[in-house]
Amino acid sequence: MALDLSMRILVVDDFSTMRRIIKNILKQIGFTNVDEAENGQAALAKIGDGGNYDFVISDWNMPEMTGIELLKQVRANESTKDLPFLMVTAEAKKENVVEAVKAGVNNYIVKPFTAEVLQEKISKIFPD
Amino acid sequence: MIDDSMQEIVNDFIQEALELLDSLNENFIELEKNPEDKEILNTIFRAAHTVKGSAGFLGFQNIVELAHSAENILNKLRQGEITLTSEMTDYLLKTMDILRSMIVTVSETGSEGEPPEGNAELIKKLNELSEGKGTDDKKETPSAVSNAAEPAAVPETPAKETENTAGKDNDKEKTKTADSANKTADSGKKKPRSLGDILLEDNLISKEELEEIYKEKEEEEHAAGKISAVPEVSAEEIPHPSASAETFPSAEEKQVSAKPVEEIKPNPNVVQQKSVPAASVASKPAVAVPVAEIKETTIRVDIERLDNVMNLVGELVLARNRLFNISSKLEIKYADDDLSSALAQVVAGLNLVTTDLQLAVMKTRMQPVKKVFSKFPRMVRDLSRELGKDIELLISGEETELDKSVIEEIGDPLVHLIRNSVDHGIEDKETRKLNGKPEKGTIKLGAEHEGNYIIISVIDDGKGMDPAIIKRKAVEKGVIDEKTAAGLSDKDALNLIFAPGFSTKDKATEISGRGVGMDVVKTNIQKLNGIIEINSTPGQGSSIILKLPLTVAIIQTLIVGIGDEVFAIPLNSVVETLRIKESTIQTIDKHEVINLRKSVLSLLRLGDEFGVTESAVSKVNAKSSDREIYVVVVALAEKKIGIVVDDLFGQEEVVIKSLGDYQLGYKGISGATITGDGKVVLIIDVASMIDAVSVR
Repeated sequence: MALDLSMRILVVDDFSTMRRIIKNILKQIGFTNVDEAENGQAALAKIGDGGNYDFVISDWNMPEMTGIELLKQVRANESTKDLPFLMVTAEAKKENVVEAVKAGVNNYIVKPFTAEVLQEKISKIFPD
Repeated sequence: MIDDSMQEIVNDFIQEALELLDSLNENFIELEKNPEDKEILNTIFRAAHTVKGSAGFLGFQNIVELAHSAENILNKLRQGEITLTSEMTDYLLKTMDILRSMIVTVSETGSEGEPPEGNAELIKKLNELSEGKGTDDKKETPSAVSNAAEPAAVPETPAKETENTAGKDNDKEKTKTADSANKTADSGKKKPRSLGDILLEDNLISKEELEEIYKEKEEEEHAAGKISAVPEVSAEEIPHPSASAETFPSAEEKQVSAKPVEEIKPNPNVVQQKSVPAASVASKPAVAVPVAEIKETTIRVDIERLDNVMNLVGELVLARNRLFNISSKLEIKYADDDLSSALAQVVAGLNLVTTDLQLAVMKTRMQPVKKVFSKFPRMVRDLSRELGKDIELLISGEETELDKSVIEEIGDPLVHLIRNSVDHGIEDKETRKLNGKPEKGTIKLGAEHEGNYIIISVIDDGKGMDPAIIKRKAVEKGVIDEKTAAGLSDKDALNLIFAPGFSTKDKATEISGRGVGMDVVKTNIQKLNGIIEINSTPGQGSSIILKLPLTVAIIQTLIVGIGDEVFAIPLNSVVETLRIKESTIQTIDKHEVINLRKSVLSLLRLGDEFGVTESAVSKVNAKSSDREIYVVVVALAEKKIGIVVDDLFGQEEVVIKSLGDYQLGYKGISGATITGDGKVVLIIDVASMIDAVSVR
């Protein structure tokens, strides 16, 4: 399984410590191209019409715009509708997963997580 | 995730989590007023959630556990499963306090250590409270996320029985995915898998279940399309119509044709645009989503760096003053020379830029006074609950900005002033009723700008202070003698509450660990070169006004002369300047005073204080009682005196430089500065001048 370690990743979380933690874990896996945004609105502005990022990792529960709303907006835009999207969530409740599936998420991960788990989750999204 | 940057992340966490918790106090007070406000509940929930989440990554299990219990209650409140009670608020507030102390422990010791005492009981209590209203779900069971889907539509059985078909379906799904991939082949990469694919592959969901979900989604979209969905509505409630219909074909579509999309449209770009109206006929253009341009606009800067910049600007101001002075002299001396006027122009420009730079740097150090004010609603709430009083704290002007160093110093004084109003100012409900006042007492805390000052006021509608009682108490406690008491004006009597030793014993114990009462107020305000003014009407309430300078490092001064010496008096402390005749000075108890608008003002001769001999000119006139002298009236905290000087030279902006060790033992000087003409001038310490007068 060869992950593209140079892919451009956008980490979205309202808590800057969390962004740092996730960035740190990504760095451990070997990713080199990581940017961040502090909520859905900011992320949407950064993503724009696509082309800036290859992958989005977003928290679910954020002020201004939640992760799920961000995902829906991204999917609603023709030019970004296929942007791979990993949702970070606090618990894997069934209805949450169902909602995420509906919104078109590529995978989800429950926090806290380790580098290994994150790597596995990402690998699942990108088939060989 | 052991890494070098780990410690840095922990530090970040500490700082950010503390800020978050601090901001919650206010939210809780607001919540008590509007227990139904989902927005506030959500904010509080999110805070607990965030602290829990990041603590989990950092391995702080105790914090995770406690935050989790709080999160549980908050979640149920947010879902409307239970209603907020005062008891709950008490425990939640306590939880926030304990979380705070746990985080402080981490910052002090570097590790979490043992959970604080009472932690287990608190968690137990929180769990009881969250179950108190008889809701059946426990910690881990799903609580209803507001979801348009009907619960019955979610099959509860895992994919076991359908395993046989799952494989087949999976293959089908893969073909499907491959199809889509072909269509979007312009990217040149394989199409990433969706969560549906992954769940299916891991046998976590059956094909049927997945189709059910997609079908539901389709239906919701149609429904949403018909209502003409409003994008602002919370995501959880109304799913946004998605344009990616072909990625998630509905079950019906599949029955009709295995490759419906391909048949209809050969060109991927055209396809995608057409597929939107095709998927939901009545829907509005889903693609045109307005994107608000919100970018990250703040960065954190170490305060030391700002201090450093401030110091450098201080040096620049000094150089500017000096240059300004020289250039004005040159301009006079070489009035006809083009060079000197060109220099004057450049210096004028530099002057302007320096002033702007100084203001800009000062602004970087400014913080809204909200930072301090925000803890008071909680304090007043707790105290009034404790005392059985009904008190409302009205805050105004919390966006007013102040230098960071000033913000740090006013916290404690305000705690004392507000506690005082709650403890001694506002009467209990019965007394208020008897006196024809509303049962609910009011304390107003306000901040506003006034020129180079900020005015902070604490005003209550309590019982007020009686000067006669204060005088009697002060005599009892030996703060003043009877004779002095008799001569005190009402206003001066009120100021006695700031005298050391006046505060009653019980008050000192209430404010644990903070030493004595109003004394602290005076000391801190004095440190900031602030002025305190008390007004009180017995029966109607008291008001305490703090007048504080905006900044402390660069100050405006009044340059005065005594004999041949020049001194600077901080303009913040100067109330007014007078020109009086020697003959109007009277003597009481061998001390010189003047009568200033019916109030007695003690005088201090700066020359005597510093042993500066009068200049030859003044000596000639010394004998004459008609000689005119200048009196600079200065005030600090609650006191006022007049400083007698020979000359007033004008106003100058100076940077205070510490004298270091040389200053030791010389009371009356707070530092030195270099004026525009290059002279080193001593800055008068108004506080010690006032003390010198009070002592005698």
